[in-house]
Amino acid sequence: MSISVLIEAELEAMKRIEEAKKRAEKIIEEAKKEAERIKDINVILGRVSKYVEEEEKKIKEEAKKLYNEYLKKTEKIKAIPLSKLEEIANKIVMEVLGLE
Amino acid sequence: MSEDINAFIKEINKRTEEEIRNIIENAENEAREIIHKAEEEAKKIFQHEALSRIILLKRKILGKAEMDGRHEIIRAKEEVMKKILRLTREKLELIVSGKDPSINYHEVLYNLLEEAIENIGEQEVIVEANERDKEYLSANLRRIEEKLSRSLGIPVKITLSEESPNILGGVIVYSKDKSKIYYNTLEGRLNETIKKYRTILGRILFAEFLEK
Repeated sequence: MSISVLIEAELEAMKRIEEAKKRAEKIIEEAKKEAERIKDINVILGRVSKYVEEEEKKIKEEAKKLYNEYLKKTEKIKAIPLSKLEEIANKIVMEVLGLE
Repeated sequence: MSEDINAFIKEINKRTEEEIRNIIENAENEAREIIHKAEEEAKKIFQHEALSRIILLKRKILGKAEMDGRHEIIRAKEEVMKKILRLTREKLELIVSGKDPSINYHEVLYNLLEEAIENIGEQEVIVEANERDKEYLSANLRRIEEKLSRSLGIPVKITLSEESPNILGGVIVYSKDKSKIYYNTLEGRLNETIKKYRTILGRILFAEFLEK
């Protein structure tokens, strides 16, 4: 009777261990599935697209600033006073006439 | 006897629990490792892909902004150059028509003629000029020839061409056989001077105003 109780306990233990092994396999199986999902190129590219969209907005802002810097320079050129241009024109005239 | 069996059973249960815990822990660790590796791999793909696209976008968007901006600057500079050219032409027109009392255009014309003949290096030359200048040269030909002969140290003989080019002023001088030609028109000189000033203006004037 006592040995049969022990055998029963051992069998029960083996059964539980087998169950644990199955659970472990399932955990690893789930992890592998999750890993596949994480590495799914479509999922990654989807995230990339969203990220790049956000970055594009920042780049466009940067481009706007850059262009505006050039516009400021353009305004400065356009604002060169007429007197300065007259002065240059006079110098050119003298040089053209050979009177410089 | 029953107590011993109970102790055995307890021991079996204890070992079993421990083994189960180990099995599950190992599996969980392995699962974490699998996911970690996948995340690292995904991160690398993400970074590589995102970086490539961002570099391309930057080149495209910032490059266009830079190019557009530079074009604006070039257009503005061209506008300034056009203004200068217009002012210069207006001043030259006043001078050649004798409406600028500060400059004697006939002296200028003589100097242009002298420079051209000197460069041709011939005694007999053919001179082309516009109608107005030709009229003046024709009326003063003898005097001009004498003056040129004195200053160049060779007897100069001028034949006025029947051609009257549509030029602002100045002369085109040919050797008698037309093998040599020297353009000393105001347009030609203006173009040369503008070329020179374009560089100077880019370097000095525009830089000066852009730094302000």
